[in-house]
Amino acid sequence: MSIRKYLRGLIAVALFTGITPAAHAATASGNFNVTVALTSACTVGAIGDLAFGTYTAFGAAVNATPVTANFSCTRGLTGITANFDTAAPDSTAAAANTNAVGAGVIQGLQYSITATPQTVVAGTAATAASIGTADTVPFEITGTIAANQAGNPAQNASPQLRTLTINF
Amino acid sequence: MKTVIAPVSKRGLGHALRLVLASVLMLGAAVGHAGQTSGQFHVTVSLQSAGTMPESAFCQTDPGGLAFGAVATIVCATGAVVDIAPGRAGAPLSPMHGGAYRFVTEVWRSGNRFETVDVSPGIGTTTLWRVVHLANRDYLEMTVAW
Repeated sequence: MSIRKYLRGLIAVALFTGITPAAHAATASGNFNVTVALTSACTVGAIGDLAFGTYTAFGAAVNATPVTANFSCTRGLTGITANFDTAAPDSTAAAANTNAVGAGVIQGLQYSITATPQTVVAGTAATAASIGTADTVPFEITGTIAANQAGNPAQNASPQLRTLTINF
Repeated sequence: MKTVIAPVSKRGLGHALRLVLASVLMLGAAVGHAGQTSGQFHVTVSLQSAGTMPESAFCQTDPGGLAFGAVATIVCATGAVVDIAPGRAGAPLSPMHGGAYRFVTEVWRSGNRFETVDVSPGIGTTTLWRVVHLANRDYLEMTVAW
């Protein structure tokens, strides 16, 4: 082997060894945790009036047309309870339970109200491309004015504001 | 809630810390489920005003326009006759009872009841009658409404 060939071979080896490491760029990974503390919540839109219509004194019992309160809630909530307020004058409310139970007086007429949970409409789960939707938690509110009541237009005017609260 | 992650030097220790972290996060989630939401609604009723309803359980009929305007008082709920009296101004038979009645009152004269009179009430037309005593004559007054 001539000296010239030897040098060419030596240069080729040097170039090969010098270039090869750059062509083999390595990857490095680091893990991290994604964390969040979710505070569950519900919202509720406007609730229709619980309308008893016209009550004739000393008349028969009157049932109000039921109304539905639709709560939009964090998905998967369980153990939801409900109760009515006692802010309205002469009103009462049972402790929070599956069904909310209460009573009140309007126009001098005693009435009872109940909020009963209906079938929950499950929301859609979130995906990487979608935020998902809330569960819909409906409560049907019913009311009854008992029969044979004299009434008093001066006691607790109509309309009377009541509140339904759900606990989760 | 604050969570501190300590440096991990050994795999077993790291695993234990992860379990602790998971427990803490689960506890935090449970606390986050305690909440309330309220919605308001109105209760409404229209109480029929006192001016258009009877003030008692009795309804009266005013035939009006008749010579003596007899007024019959009945129990609104049953139609049973309570009284017949000389006429006076008043409202027509209240619509509270939902219909007219048919009844025949007892008729008395000189303290004796006419034996042939039917006193049972029922649904139908309103029929009233009485015997009027005048100085020179007696006569029967009858009122029919339907």
